[in-house]
Amino acid sequence: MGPVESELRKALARRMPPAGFTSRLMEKFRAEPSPRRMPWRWVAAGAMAASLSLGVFMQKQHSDRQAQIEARQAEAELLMTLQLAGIKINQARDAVWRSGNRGAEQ
Amino acid sequence: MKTIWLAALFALCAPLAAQEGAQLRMDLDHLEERADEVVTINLDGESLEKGRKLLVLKKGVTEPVKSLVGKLKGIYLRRFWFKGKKQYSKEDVSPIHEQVAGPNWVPLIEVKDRTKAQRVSVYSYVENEEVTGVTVVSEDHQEFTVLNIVGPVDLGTLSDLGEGIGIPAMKLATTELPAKEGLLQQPAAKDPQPTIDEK
Repeated sequence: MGPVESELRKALARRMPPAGFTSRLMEKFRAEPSPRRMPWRWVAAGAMAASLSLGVFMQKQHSDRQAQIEARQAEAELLMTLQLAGIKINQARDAVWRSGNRGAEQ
Repeated sequence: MKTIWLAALFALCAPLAAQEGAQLRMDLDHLEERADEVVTINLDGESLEKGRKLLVLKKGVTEPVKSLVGKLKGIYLRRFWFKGKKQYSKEDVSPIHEQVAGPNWVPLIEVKDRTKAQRVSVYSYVENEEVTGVTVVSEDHQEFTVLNIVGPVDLGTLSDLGEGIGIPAMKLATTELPAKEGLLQQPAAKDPQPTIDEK
């Protein structure tokens, strides 16, 4: 074995890590924030915001639709009631006219 | 000091009292239990405003109708329909008759058809020589209807409306009110000759 070979063997010989190396390494891993967690948080927040917006939009649509239904019902009731009043008035008026005509004929 | 407060209170209440003048108290709850069908319509304030806005925008509505609707303050309907014959007495409907017999109410027409025991009465509420309300009371064996309109009313326009003049053909699908029972029956052109009792 030459001196070079002997030097190489020495340099590449198996050595045990210094005490506490593993725990220090693991601690370092834990301390560093995971690069994958950040996007998932944003995705979750975005999804929540989107569903909230959708909920608000749907609620507004629903209340608008309800208001429209109420207005249409009020319109129909108004028209129907006025028409009914007109019909009843005409009934009475026609009866008076018929009675007048009968009186004139007699 | 007390007099001033009373005067102020009176001044505040006077417009309210005037507004309620033509409005009838519909004390007819006791009939609701006996009637087979009840139609109740109360249109005033916000509900009247909503209906008015849509009606005025409708195509084919004439100016007199728009004007009539624009001046309305309230419109109230109670219609009771009974399957059997005469399920109500004079006393049951006396709260209405007593009110329209009161001051400011002027009977315009009263038609009694004895063959059908039918009676239609039209009253107007007059304040300062102006008609500020109209009430129509219609009764027969199976029906009692009271219709109270509050606000300046042009009877001619109302009569036109009764003949379908001034409004487009109406689709009743938007309302749940029953048309089949003759609520919107035709004018009494085909009715038998009634006898007239004018007040």
